[in-house]
Amino acid sequence: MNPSDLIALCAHLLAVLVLLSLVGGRSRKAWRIRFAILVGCILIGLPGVQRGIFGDLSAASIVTCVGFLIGTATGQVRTLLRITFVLALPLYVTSLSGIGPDLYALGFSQWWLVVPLAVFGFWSVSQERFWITLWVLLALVMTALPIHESSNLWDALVDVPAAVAGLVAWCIGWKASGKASST
Amino acid sequence: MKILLCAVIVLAAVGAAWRTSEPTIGTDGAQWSINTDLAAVEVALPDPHDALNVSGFAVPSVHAVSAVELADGTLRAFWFGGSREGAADVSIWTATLSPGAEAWSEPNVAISREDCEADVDRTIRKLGNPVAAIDGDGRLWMFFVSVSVGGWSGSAVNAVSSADEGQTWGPVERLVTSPFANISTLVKGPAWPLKDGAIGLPVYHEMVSKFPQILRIETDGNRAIVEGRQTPAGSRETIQPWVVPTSPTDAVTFFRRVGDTEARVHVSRTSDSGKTWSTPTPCDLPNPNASVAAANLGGGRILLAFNDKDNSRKDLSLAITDDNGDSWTRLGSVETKKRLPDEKDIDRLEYSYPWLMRTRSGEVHLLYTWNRKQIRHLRLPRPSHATEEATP
Repeated sequence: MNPSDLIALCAHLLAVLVLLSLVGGRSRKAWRIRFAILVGCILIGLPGVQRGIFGDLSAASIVTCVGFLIGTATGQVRTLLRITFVLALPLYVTSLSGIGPDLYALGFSQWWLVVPLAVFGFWSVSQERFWITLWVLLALVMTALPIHESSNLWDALVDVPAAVAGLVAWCIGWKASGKASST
Repeated sequence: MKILLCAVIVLAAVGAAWRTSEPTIGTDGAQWSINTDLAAVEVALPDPHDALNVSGFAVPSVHAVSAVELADGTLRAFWFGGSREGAADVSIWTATLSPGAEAWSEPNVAISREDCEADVDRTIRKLGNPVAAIDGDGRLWMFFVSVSVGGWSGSAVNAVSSADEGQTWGPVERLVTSPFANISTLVKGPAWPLKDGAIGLPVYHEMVSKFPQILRIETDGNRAIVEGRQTPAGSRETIQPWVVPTSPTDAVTFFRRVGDTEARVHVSRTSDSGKTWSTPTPCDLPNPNASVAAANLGGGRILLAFNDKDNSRKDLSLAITDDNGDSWTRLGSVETKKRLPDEKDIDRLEYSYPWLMRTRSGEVHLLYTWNRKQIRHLRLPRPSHATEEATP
């Protein structure tokens, strides 16, 4: 197993742990049970199944999982996911329909794409939104080094699970703002 | 702390920019590296009774053959086979035909589903559509599709290479070709080497919408990674592109048509080494939603293998064009619904997924799926007048 495979499988295990953490409390006993289930998941090869379905996870998913488990900066993670959805939507629409410019192809061949991303990273540093900084930085490192199965910048930035979570974050936000305006 | 973070971002951005500055197809050395200055050869209609059985009788169901010519002139063919299409026991099979030999070697498994699953570290449910290619360094590559979940439209493309012309294989690499969970990219037509050492691989997309694409794949030893993708504009409802370079800058692509309308073979052209392609247009030949194959005969002529019916694959025919697909002369049918003696027990006739290739010696070979039971091979004979002219 090469290092990129190991990193990818660990990222999927992290995602499983996040899903498990949604059930039960935060007691030590609950975490023991979660880790026991996690070992079971490894034994039945669940990370491989997830990887077969979703491919390698992007920086957005990995940072979200870590942020969720640590339980701090949920506002920043929510913002990150919303941005992920905004980036992913045109990418998926053009890629699946074959209509319009091939935005995904830009991630292979257009080096200038990293410029706005780096500027966004500088902005997040200046605003002390370090979870977003971590997302940008991890995506750039994943693209620069062969630690992701794809060489495409977009694959390091966004993926389907993060985009779906981003959609959910937008929906929750709209629902909350609707409630606030009606009261 | 902030300055340090910004410095790290700059460093990572420089590295990422370096990785995302790959040339696109048709530019900066990413043009095809194929000899298009070919001597003209003439071919005649082969007799199906002369067909060789490539796949033997190892498995009951076989499909989707491709082949390459090795350094000594040996042909090596690949196809997928198992108990039925899409079954978990389907593997990628291979066999060889040595120069002058009258029969293909015993077929053997090149890649099994289990091999693939172990190498790519993820669940794989089925394999299909192997396409062989030889890169600029003479290394044999095989691209094939795998499915982890769902049907064929959930396919991903994999690559595997061999340094000994197919005796042994390196690890399978899963290529990332699409942002949406990397699904729905399939391969069928022949690849070609690019001037910068990479490989150009025509592929197609099937989920939500169907359209062709071309990948630029960089190789390093037995590793392969997608470094570019091109989606020709206006080419929806056309899949399985078969590209025939006709000069250093010109090429013609023939497509299988999948839409409800214009059930004809579609044709697209480029005159800038594949940087841009014309919108595919229907030609005179029917296409019953079936794969086609082509070979450059030289002298401005292209041979096409296709199913000459509007709605079935019961007739595999050959036609020649001398104007890049605008008009066609039919050579005739290779296989028809008139049953051969060994077809009397077959319920549904099908002659499909042709593979045409021209060898360095100028021989033209046709391989195809025969009723999903066998992969068959025919050498196209020279026409009698050509033989007489060649006789002193």
